[in-house]
Amino acid sequence: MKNNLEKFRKELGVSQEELALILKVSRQTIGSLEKGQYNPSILLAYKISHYFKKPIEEIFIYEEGDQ
Amino acid sequence: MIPNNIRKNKMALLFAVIITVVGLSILNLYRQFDFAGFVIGFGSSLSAVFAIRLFRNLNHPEQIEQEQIENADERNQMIIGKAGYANFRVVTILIAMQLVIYYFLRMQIPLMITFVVLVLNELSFVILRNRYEKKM
Repeated sequence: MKNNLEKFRKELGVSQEELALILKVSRQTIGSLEKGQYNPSILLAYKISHYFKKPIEEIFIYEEGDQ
Repeated sequence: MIPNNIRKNKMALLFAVIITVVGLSILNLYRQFDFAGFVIGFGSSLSAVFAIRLFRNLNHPEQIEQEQIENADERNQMIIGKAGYANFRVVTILIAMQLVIYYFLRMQIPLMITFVVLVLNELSFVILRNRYEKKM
């Protein structure tokens, strides 16, 4: 699944480490999310959406065929 | 409240100390030095490792928090789950191979023990899967 996580994170000037600490996940998870290698749980997606104050669909872009 | 990882380390330390005590008891009761020596060595090494981990964690609260995050991290949990399942399959194949070797070597008792281990391995997987299915 594609996402705009890196873009929004950089807009806020937050590092991966800082975002990981805020969301209470590992830094590697943030890295994987940004690369699109890992899709978050609905809970983490909500936390991310809440933190960036943007709707989930604006951060995570679902495309037909995504698994 | 005691953080989860400290509680786990305390439990692990207790377990390791128990192994050492069991080893010492075997040594005292039966004088089977080789086996008892192995158990004592194994238990004391584990005790040392978990004692170091426990005291290191107690001195650094920020490390405790980081470790808690790593433990609860959903991606790490998924990785552990997938690796655990793959490991279960590998272990099953290895036990089955061992079974075949014992069969050709005509080693009756090891063959029977290995067969029981194989059945228990599969059984534990089915029980745990059912348990988690009920939870989720």
